[in-house]
Amino acid sequence: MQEKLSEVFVEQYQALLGVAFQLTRNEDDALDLMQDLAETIAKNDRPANSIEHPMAFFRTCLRNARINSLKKSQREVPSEPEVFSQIPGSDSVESDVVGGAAMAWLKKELESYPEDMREAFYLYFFDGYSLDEVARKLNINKNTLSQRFVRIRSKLVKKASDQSLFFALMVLFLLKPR
Amino acid sequence: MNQKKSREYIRKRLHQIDGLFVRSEEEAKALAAQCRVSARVLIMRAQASSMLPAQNWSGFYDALDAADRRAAGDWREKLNDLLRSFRRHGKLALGSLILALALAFFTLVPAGRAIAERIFNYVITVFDKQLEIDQAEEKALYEARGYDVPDVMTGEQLESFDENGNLVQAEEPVYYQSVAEFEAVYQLDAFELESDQLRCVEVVEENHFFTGKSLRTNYLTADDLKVNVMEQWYQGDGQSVAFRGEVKEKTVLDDRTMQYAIDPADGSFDGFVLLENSVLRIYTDKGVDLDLIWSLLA
Repeated sequence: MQEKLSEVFVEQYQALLGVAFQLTRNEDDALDLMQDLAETIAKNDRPANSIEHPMAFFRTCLRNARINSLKKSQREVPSEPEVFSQIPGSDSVESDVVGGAAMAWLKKELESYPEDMREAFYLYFFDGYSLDEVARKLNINKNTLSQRFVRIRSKLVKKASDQSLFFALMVLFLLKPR
Repeated sequence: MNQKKSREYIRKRLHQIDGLFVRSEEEAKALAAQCRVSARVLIMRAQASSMLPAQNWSGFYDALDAADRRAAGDWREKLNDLLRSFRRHGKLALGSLILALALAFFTLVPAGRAIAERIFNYVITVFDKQLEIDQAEEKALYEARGYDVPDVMTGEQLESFDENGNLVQAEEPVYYQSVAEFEAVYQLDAFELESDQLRCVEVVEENHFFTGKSLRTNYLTADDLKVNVMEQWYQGDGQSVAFRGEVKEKTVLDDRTMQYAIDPADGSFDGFVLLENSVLRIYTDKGVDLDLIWSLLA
C-alpha cells in the first residue's frame, strides 16, 4: 500500500509543529497553522509520492497559511513572541554578533529582490526544495537562481569573516589590561 | 562554506531576515517538544472545526492507529515500515539484495564456490599466458602474418644479459694453466703448438656475445719473440679477415689452405686457416723463424 500524505503528516508531526512555531508567536497560533495544514491534506489525501517533496510542500503550506492569516487579521498584536526559558542556545556570543551583521546585510539584499526571487529564496532556504524544483515551480532559469544563491553565499562568507575579525579585535581591546 | 552549509546557516537565522519568522529553528523545535497537544488531539480538533466529511479524515486516523501500534511494538507495523522503506529506496535496496545474494552464492553455496574458483583460475591463467608468451611462438605467429621477424635468441644468448637487462657483450677472460686444461673443461679439441723451441706463457679463454668462444694461446721463443695462436669457435654468420701486406697462401694441416701476409710496416706474420669447427689465426713477431711455424702446421 502506498504511503499517503496523512501518514507523512503523522510521522513528521513534531518536525512540522516546530516549523509552525517558527512562524507564530504562540502555541495556539502554531496549532491553528497545523490544523489548517491537516485540513488541506484531508481535502485531498493522495499518495505521498504524487508530490515531489512532501515535507517541502508542507512547509510551503504552513508558510502560506501564516501569510494568509496575517493578511486576514490585517494587523498583528505587537507582543513579544512566546519563549521557553529552558531553550538550549548553541550559538556563541561571537556567532550571534557575526551572524547578526551578516543577516542584516541579507535582509537588505532580500528587500531589493523582485517578488518571484524572494519566493525562490524561501522555497529553497526555508521550505527545502532543491534548486531544480524551485526553478521549475517558479519558471525561473536555474542558472539565474544558482548565481543569485552563490552570490549570497560568497557575500555571507565575506561578511562573516570581516565581522569575525572585527569581533576578535574588539575582544582583544576589551580584554586589554588597563 | 559550501552550498549545503550556507543553506543551513541561513535557515537557522531566517528570523533575523524576515518578520514572518518569529524565532529560530532551534527555539521553535524546543517549543514543539514541550507542546502537550498530540497529533491525535490536533486531528480531532481540526476535524471538529472542519466541514469536511468523516471519510476525509480516515487516512489520519489510520496513520495514528498504525503509529500507536508501532509504538506498542507490533511486528506487522514494523514489517510495513520495512516494506515502506524498501519502496522508498527501491533501486538501492534491490541492488544491495542482488549483491548480497550473489556474494552468498559465490561464498556459501558449494556450486557457487566451484564456479568462483573456475573463474579465478581462468583469470589467473589468462594473466599467466600474457606474461609468459614463448618467443618462438611469437616469431612463428608474426612470420605467418608476413612480417620479417629476427631470430629468437637462444637460452645462452638470453643469459648474456646482466641483472639490469644490459647486454653483456664480452665476459671476463678465463685463464688456464695449459691448453689441455681448457680441453678438459669443454671437451673441445683445441689447436696447440708443440715445440721445445716455444714456451707457452698464457692460455686464455674469451667469450664474446657475437663471435662466440675463443682460446688465445701465447708463446715465446727462446729470444722472447711472440707467437700468438687464436682459435675461435665462431657462431656468427660470417667473418671478415683483413691483412696488411700481400696475401699469400700455403697448404697446412692436411690440405687446408692458410692465407697469410707479412706486414710491410713491422715485418710481423699474420696467418689464417679454417679448421673443422673453428678458425685458427696465428700471429708472430718479426724475426720468428717461419719455417718452424710451417713445420708445426705441417
